[in-house]
Amino acid sequence: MNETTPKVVVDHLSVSLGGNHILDGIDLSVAEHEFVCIIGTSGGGKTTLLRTVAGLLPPAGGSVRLDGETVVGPTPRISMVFQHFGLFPWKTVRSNVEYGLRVQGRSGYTERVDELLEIMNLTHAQHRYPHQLSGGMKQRVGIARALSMEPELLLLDEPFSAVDAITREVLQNEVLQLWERNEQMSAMLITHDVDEALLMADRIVVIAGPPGRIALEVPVSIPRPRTARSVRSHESYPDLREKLWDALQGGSDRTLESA
Amino acid sequence: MTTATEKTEATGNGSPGRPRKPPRSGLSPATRWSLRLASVLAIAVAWELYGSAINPVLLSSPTAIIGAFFEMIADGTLTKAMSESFVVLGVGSLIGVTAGLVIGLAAGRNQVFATLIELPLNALYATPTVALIPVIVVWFGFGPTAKTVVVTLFVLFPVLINTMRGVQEVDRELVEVARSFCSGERRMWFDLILPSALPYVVTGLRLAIGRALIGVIVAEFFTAFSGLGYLIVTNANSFQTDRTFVPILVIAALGVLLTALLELIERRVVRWSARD
Repeated sequence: MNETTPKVVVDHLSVSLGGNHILDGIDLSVAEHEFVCIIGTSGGGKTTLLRTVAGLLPPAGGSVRLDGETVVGPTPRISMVFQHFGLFPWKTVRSNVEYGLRVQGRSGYTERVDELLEIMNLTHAQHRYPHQLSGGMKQRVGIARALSMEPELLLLDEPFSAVDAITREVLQNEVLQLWERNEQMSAMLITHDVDEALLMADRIVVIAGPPGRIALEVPVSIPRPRTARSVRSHESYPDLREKLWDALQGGSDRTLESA
Repeated sequence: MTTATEKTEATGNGSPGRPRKPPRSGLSPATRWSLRLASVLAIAVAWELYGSAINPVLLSSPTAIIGAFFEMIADGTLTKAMSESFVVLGVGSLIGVTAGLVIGLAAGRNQVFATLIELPLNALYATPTVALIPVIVVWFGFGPTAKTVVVTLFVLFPVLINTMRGVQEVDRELVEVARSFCSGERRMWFDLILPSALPYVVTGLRLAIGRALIGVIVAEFFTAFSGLGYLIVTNANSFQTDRTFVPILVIAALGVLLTALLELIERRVVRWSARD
């Protein structure tokens, strides 16, 4: 973990949607090149947290700061990978990957896009349309599109929940490798899968709600590079897993929350 | 790092480029065309046999109609009527489609505007446009202007309502994607709103073709002393059944042609669709 000034600060953040209190006083920071996983049960407000960090939702109270600057709306410094891929069905794979760059009015990105397609193993499919791809390939496009912006913060909203188990493991490793290679990039990943969080995270934050509050925050010190097996066989694994489960269950059962 | 899973993940055979589309049905194009031709031929033969056996006023026959067709071209009645009707059809459709698109796009994106026009729109849409023709005649007389207005009204609503729906049904997640990449409103129109509304617009246009043809013929029944509709009425009134069928078949052929043309355009433009 990096102990220097944090890259992202979520400062006493509260969010309401349509009169409902979704998040209540969230304090959280992400250091440069730190991988933070947020887990919580459905409806606990974790996606809302991510959307607010992305600048897609205005806070009702508190703020999100990136390098000390308050995030007031979407910025190219933060990119998001979407749960249901969020690909444009009428754009080819290549043109979907180029999307962010084109919106930003950047030029001379052909080589960069070539490289991203190569890294994500999409070169052979670059002229296909999304409906011709499997879920795993679609999410590769989503990841490539997010990375094309060279973001300082990568947000991943349950990115592997819509793909099969085998593909999920492959994609998890790919994302980890991409993050490890990119030393300026911090990441926040939302999941409800404890093992996924333990595989990917430097630090895990459990959100329990509604309204969403931080129920637990634990560092994960399992050495990298990690694999599903190396995580499971690490000495701290049983303890961490139990702690996280307890926190998650406390979140879904209001009577335990005060304990 | 991904090569191992590539084979299982890619849909189809993993070959580059556009994958082959499976045929829409089990029939080959040649079979389909011969079946189409056979059905038209069968109708024509049955009509010919039965039509020439009875009084020509009742049904006439394909050969008599073909004869009348050339006669009417030679004496100029058909070409004159066609040009009169087609001008009305063209101008009326153009105005109707343009207005429908513009109002539909605006209403789809602006809730205040959509709510403002909602009740009058529904009322007008529910009213059979035919019922308005007498009023339109009062306003615009019996000339081509009235006919054009009728066609415009017939075309306007299907285009407007479908376009509006298309814009409204834009995928919320994609709007979020566009916003997260800091897309401005204008880019969003081109990247997201227009492409996703396009299939709806095409549906509106398909409905509009049929309605435009109805519109022009009905308008000519009621109003102008010109056009294909007028030709139908006068020939029928003088019991020239073969000459009555000529404009009817011209209209039918035009409908088939326009629909086929639209399908061709649709296939070009909406290539990304997952309909297959």
